[in-house]
Amino acid sequence: MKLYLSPTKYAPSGTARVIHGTRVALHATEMLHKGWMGIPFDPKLSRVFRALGDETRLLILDELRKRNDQTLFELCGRLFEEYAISLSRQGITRHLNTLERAGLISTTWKGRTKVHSFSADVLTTTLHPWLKPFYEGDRA
Amino acid sequence: MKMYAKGVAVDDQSKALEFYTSKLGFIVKHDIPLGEYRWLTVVSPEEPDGVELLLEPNAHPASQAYQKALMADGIPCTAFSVENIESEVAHLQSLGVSFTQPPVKAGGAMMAVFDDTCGNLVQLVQLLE
Repeated sequence: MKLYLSPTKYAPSGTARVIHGTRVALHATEMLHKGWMGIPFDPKLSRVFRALGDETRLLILDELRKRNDQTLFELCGRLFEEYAISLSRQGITRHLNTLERAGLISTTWKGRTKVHSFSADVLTTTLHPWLKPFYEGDRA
Repeated sequence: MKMYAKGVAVDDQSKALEFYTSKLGFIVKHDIPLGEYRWLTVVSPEEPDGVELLLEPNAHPASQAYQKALMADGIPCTAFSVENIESEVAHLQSLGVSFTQPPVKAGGAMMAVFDDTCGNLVQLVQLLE
């Protein structure tokens, strides 16, 4: 067994900080950005987690997983019918924008009507590589 | 007071007449020339003395903006009721009518949404017991 991470050892001089009386090398986010934690880090990751950190957005994703190409009207109807979510259309639109910015859904135009679909790419390219070491382990 | 006519803005009255009669099966109630446009109404053959659907020109810019915004979000501008939504949807699809939403349960009804080709989405409703 060996230490997986030894901040004080690997930290370049001048980057150490004192947090709650303990000397740590760098803020975790900085280390992630620098790729020092051994986990493949994609800068999109935090945006994906923020987008997922909301119950309504999780339900929207689930509804789109069941059926792609849904209009705003249809989604509002399904959310109300299935989960009694009665947010305004503007409220649902904001959630959809957040999901789209995170790459979790995509939108296209079917004629003059905008339709939304679940997009699995970000799960396989961003989320999965980050989660994998946690359940498979990568310690020597 | 009673309801008499319900307006639906259309981008072309002749095209609308064709769609609402030959695809949807409504019948002409009034077709009166009014200069550039017509006073054009249709009724359901199941309810010939019922409320008339007025197919009126969308010439006003605000009308076009309104139609465009509703259409973008998939919101229907009016609704028709049917006895059996599944068979009605299959029938209309066989005539080339395009749906933006298949039949979905919503409250005490099943509803589907189609494109009237004249700038509107229309909701089909089957009320459930």
